[in-house]
Amino acid sequence: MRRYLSESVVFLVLAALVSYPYIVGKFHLYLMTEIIIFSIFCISFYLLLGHTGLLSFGHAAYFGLGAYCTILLLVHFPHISIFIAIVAGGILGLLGGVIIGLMLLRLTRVYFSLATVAFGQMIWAIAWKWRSLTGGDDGLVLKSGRKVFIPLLGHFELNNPFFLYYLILVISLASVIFCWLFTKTPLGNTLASIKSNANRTQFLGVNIYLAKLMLFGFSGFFAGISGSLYILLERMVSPGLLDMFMSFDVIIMSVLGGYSNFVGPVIGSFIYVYLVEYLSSFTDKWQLILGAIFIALILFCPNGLVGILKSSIIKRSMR
Amino acid sequence: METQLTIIFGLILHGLIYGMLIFLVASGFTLAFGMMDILNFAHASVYMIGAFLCYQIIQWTSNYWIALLVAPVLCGLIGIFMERIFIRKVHAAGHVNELLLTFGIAMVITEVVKWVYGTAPLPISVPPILRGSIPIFRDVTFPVYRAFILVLSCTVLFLMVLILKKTKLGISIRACVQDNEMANALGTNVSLVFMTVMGLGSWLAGVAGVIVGPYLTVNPDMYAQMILDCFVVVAVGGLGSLGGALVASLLVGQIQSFGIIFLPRISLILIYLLMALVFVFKPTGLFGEKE
Repeated sequence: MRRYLSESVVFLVLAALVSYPYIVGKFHLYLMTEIIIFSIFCISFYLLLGHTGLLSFGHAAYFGLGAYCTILLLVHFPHISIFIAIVAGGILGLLGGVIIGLMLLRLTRVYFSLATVAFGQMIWAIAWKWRSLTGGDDGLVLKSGRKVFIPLLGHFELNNPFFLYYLILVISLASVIFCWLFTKTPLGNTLASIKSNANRTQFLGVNIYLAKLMLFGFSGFFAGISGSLYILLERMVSPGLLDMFMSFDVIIMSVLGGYSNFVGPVIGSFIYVYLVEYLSSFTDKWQLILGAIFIALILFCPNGLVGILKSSIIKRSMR
Repeated sequence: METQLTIIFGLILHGLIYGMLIFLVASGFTLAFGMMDILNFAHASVYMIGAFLCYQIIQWTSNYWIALLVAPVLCGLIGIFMERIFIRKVHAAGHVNELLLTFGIAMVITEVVKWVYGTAPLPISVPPILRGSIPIFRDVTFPVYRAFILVLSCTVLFLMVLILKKTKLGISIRACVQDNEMANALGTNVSLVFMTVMGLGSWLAGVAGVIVGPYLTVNPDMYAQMILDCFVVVAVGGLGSLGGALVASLLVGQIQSFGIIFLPRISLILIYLLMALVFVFKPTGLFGEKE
């Protein structure tokens, strides 16, 4: 019975996502597109934090690497396919993850978290100072009017919000499925066991360093993909995309939704985008309110909104 | 030739002062880190609060010395408050929650400061006694306020070493840094010692905040700069190692000071490169032993 319940929920959510552009206006469509992109970003973060127990404070670095890679390709090579640009963004994120991982993954727990902040800032500083390539503080802007060719369906304007929404939705759904399958592989199981007890996993003969390195690359890849998609939506890039505050945003989203399963990050980014939109519409102190909510969640329900829902469902079934 | 010498002298001096300031903040940070494995994101917030309290107290009383006495004490109380009310609550829930909590506290403090004082840099004038400069030779001079910072921070450093090496409290702190479970088993009240460390560490950060006011500017961005420097210092110096933190602070101070003049394009990256090198060749930090 429960199995059918979750399947029907998935079906309903999918139907809602597909019909969303026909229900709401342009503004909410934009927000929804943003939410979908942030969901991928959050899920790539969940693989580190929720699945393996590695808390990184520099996750925006991979997001930003993907974003910069895509926009540079699109600006300098006008005829390149956007799919190649998106995948290239992901691959740069992967490389960034592997290189940073090589240096950091021998560190344990808190020490690791500390180092990620600094390496995230290092990549930010490079993006900020390498003016000739990245445009420095001003960033880069993508010219409009690009056409995209989809086999069997024909040409589309990249500016078209409907087309963009569906494009991003399809790529994101594929990414989510990939990430979900990844957690079911033997490597995924190994990583989950690292979270429960790293020492024992090592005693079993697993090379946990290599496993974590592969995870870092995988997570960096999807963070890079989400950065690339974000560029298609925003059409511009600036160092703000990879500074520590962007890394903090993904942490806030994960805590809002909860990071104990795949649903949490998605719900978290949904709440975050709408909450920021709502709060900033009537007060400019919205970051303060967000911070207070954040602290309250950590203190009173560390599993986030998904945790609250889960415990209330369990309570109800216990009655 | 002579102007070059003057400039280099000034840079070394600036690096030294900045290094000492970082050390004042990082010492409490690294002790808390070594004792309870807490990476306290909010520690640099206390430093920022110190600077703003200094500004506020000078606004009310127009006396720098009152600010120098009162603000750090208030900062110490804030540190104790933070430990009692927040950190203690989630300590049992594990590292991730603790980290996230201190991060949230830092976020809220920064926002409150921005709300009350705005984001523009606030000026604090140097107290009259400490104005002017001491001539050293020909046109090389030494501003009195910088000398004051050096003397004050060295005094604080000396007092700290004295406390750590000679008093019972210091012995307890060092025991807890080495192995807090064993210290607890041998009858040390670890949670009390930790609260004291948080208080003292916050007091030190407050002192740094007050003396930085007239030297640099007071603005909400000082938090991010200081927390990053602290991270680098703790990583380079080694977990919970005070001597390591001192060496690393002075090193970071000099790198910041010289980097901005000689390698302006990559000055921001230099300290992270130093950190990367340390991680590659000695992951426990220069003076760290505990993993």
